[in-house]
Amino acid sequence: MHSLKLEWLKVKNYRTFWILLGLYVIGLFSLNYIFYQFQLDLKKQLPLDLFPYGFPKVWQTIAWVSSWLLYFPGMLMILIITNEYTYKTHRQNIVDGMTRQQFIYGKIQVAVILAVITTLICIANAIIFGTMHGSKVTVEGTEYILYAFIQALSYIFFGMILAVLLRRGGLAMGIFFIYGLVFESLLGALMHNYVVKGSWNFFPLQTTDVLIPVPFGKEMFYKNTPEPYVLIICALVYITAYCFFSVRKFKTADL
Amino acid sequence: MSVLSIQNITKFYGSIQALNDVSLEVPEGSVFGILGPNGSGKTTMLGIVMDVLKATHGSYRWFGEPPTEMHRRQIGTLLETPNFYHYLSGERNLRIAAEIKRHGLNDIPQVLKRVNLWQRKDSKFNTYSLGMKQRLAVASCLLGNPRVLVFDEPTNGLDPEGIAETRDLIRNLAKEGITIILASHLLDEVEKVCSHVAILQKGKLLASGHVDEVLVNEDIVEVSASDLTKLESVLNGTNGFTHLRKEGNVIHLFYPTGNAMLENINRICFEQGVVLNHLQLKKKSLETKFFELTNIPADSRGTKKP
Repeated sequence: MHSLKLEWLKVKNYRTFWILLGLYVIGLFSLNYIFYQFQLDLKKQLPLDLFPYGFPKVWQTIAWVSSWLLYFPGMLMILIITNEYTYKTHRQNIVDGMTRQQFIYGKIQVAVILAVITTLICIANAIIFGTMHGSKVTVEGTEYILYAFIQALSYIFFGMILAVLLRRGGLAMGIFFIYGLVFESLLGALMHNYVVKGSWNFFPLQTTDVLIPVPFGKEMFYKNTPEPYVLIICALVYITAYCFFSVRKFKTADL
Repeated sequence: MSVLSIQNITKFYGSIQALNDVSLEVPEGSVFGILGPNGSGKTTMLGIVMDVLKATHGSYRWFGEPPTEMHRRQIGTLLETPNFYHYLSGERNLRIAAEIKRHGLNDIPQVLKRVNLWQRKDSKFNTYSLGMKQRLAVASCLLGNPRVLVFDEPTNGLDPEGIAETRDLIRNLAKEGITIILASHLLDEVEKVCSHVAILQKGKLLASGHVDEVLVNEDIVEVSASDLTKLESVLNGTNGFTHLRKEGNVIHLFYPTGNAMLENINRICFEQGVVLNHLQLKKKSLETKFFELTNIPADSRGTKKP
């Protein structure tokens, strides 16, 4: 708890952080609103439910739409860690009497909190849009909220380990984006086509992307994908590995 | 008791050796100067004992115990540069430091006043001048009445007034019984404030101990007269000095500490018909000693042999 209190003191008056977090919250709402309107307009012309915003399907729709913005909390995580390296405050914190372990545990707690915030916003958005759509809240479909939480953890901890290993904000963010948006698909497709069929499903970010397929596309894009519990185990293995190696790196390296 | 005891510490950065089997003891209540040119391993050594760098070999103890974070909380440390959150005010930065140390929260106004930053306590760190940043770092070190202070180049970037203030502050803190470990490449800084000194060069410890022990001083007497040849022969007839050296139109006589008698020299010369126009006693400066220890000729004036 002490580590977390320190993290709070560090971000409490950090305006950039709050502006970015605010934009993220607004962004999540706005992006869902765009899809919501698109679906309404579509329905007037064709009997298609591409992005269903009624319960119970809305849980999945919201989880999928929101996942496009997961780079954002990942970026915040990178910012929070690489700021320390840039200002050398990670050294000062240790020198002043933190243990290396306490320091990195503080960051892990921040990562979890960012994932919780993301999840809570998803829940709020689902309730708002589902209700606007005129349906009653259902428990059915809420497993997608759990999936969204695991996906958020995956992205944010992936950002964390990049930040810990690379130490420079620009570089870590650049690699985070380009890997997530381009190279993972490239590597995954190559592996899938030439090495092991289906191995793409188990790439670090793809695992949780497969967990939350686009609402209309389960049959189209995600045929023969592993069972959710397999994907969840795989994601948890990755998350554990990110934490383990981040802690080990921070505990043993020259800071 | 030793506040800090370093045993056989060696540090490699890849293939580059930054410290080579360094051992030393910092006695309680001392002002311990670590002297060496830039790149001699001073910051590496302090980084290791503050646990931000890992030694390749060797160990260290704080207060006679294996080191833990509890020790570091009783030590005020300024390592290399003032490291603070740029977007936070000076005061908020100190709050974080106090929170980490788990004491000293109530000292914040007092330490800010002591380093003359009270007026600017609400300004963001990145609006501070270099000197103010350095002073904030000193203030942070003073939180919670530390037993030991570690200052790495504390006068870096300060103007002459700031340098004088910082030195006064260090002297006053030493009077209060706080042990101070001071790394510096400035000889006169160490000479002016330290009771003990360790000299590092290229990662090797050349000497360490009480200033008077390390710097076994010689008295140097400068003598000059219009007839230098005659003066030299007269001086060669006296005894007590270890050696004599001519430098320009001044003769340097070297005596063991406390053995130079200016009256005698003056009288003997006068009796033998040499009238002196210059006679002065000089303590051998730390600078000379430092160059001697580090094998850089003090009077390297281009008289090297081909």
